Amino acid sequence: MRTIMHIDMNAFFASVEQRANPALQGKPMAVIGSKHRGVVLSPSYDARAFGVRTGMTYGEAKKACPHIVLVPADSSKYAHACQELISIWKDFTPLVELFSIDEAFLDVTGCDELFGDPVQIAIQIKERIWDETGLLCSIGIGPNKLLAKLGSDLQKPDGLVFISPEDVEAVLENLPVKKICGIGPNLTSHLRAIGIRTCGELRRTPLKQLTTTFGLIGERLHDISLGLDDDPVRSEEEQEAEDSKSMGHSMTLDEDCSSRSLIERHILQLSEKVGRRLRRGAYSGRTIALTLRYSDFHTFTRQKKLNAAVNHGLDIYAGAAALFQEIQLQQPIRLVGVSVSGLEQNGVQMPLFEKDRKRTWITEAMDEINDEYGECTVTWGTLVHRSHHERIISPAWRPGGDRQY
Amino acid sequence: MPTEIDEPIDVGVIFSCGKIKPIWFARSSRQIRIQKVTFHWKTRQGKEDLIHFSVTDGHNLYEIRFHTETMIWRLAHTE
Repeated sequence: MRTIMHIDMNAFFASVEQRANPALQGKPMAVIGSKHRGVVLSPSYDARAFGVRTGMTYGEAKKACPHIVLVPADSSKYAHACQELISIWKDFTPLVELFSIDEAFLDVTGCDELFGDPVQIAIQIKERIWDETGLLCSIGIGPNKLLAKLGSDLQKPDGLVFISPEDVEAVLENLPVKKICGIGPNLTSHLRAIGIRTCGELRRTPLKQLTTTFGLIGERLHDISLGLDDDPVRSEEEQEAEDSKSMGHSMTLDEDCSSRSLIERHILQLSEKVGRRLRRGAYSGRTIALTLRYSDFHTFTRQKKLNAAVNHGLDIYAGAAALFQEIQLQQPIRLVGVSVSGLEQNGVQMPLFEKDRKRTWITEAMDEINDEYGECTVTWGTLVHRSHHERIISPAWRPGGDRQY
Repeated sequence: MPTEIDEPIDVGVIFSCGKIKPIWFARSSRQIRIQKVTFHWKTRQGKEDLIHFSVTDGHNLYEIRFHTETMIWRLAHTE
């Protein structure tokens, strides 16, 4: 039987900022997305006591706690702290899967001879994290990722919950389905519509009813209700291979935007960034996707397949802009994203014509200058007035990946 | 709130066991003794690695930055 741990760093961004600036310790404070659009990303536990929550706007946070200190996010600090954590975790097992910058799964199956039973391992990990980084975490231990993740969510901050196979039924019986990782608000409301609120009720629902109502997801829901999950903990190499199936960037705009020309400029900026990353890894891709989010958070993606694999910013932009042309905006735009998938390595055809060769040379020269002196040292005139966003760490960030800070 | 400074400074450091430990830095002909390095992290600017240190003299918090290519220290900001 496997032994899986889920480690969830408590109020990670806020705790790192408190460590960097001891004057913030013990005070209600929160890390916000940017100076311009102050959405709370990570409130400290002192701020949570006043009702400040992740996702609140600057105004809402100030209303809940007038003396809260708001600190703009600094992704490079969090990336560094995450690397420190990974090196601690890897002293216990090589099978560490970074779930996000502040969460990881560890497969510690068979580590008991070296470090003791799973609870002893978790205690040692918590002690080392505290001693070496001054950060707190909650650890869930279970026979699979589903139960380990659930365990870490049950006790915060500084929790340690061990769910053995014998405990599964009792733990899940009255647990609201929305507490399970992977059951989002939409699925929760669909389940509620057929009278299912808890995992116990889900377990007593016949599999056939679930598959008739939800299709393939029905089988997954049935497994969840029994606490079953055979998803493996992926090593860093496996995650990188998975990540390299697509590359993309998105940006939340400083303010909601209805101007098509401004949105097109953001699309060009994102296309350039995606092109740079693709070329750095010698990748190219055939499928271009454009994601837009309206001011009411309704998000949608349109994609198109090209005849040839591309990795030049202007080719990516041409695809994304063509997709944008077909969209009638219903509301102002809050977020824009561009991605390229269907990736292949070394897949770009050598340019045959003079005009294309010149473009390749110009791109190579621009890449060399930007590698030497920093991003956008040389860029398109249209992007002179580009957005200078505080860099918010993406869920796709990996310490060894191509998305570096 | 931090006040941006971004000026070159002289820094006294100890290099030990592959780590850099700043001990003091000089600003406006005044030597400021570092009581504690509260955090350090790396960023990249083009091909140059920058190593940032958040340090305190017991009263104020400062961010100093080491440019690894040019071997220059800068005071980034103070709080």
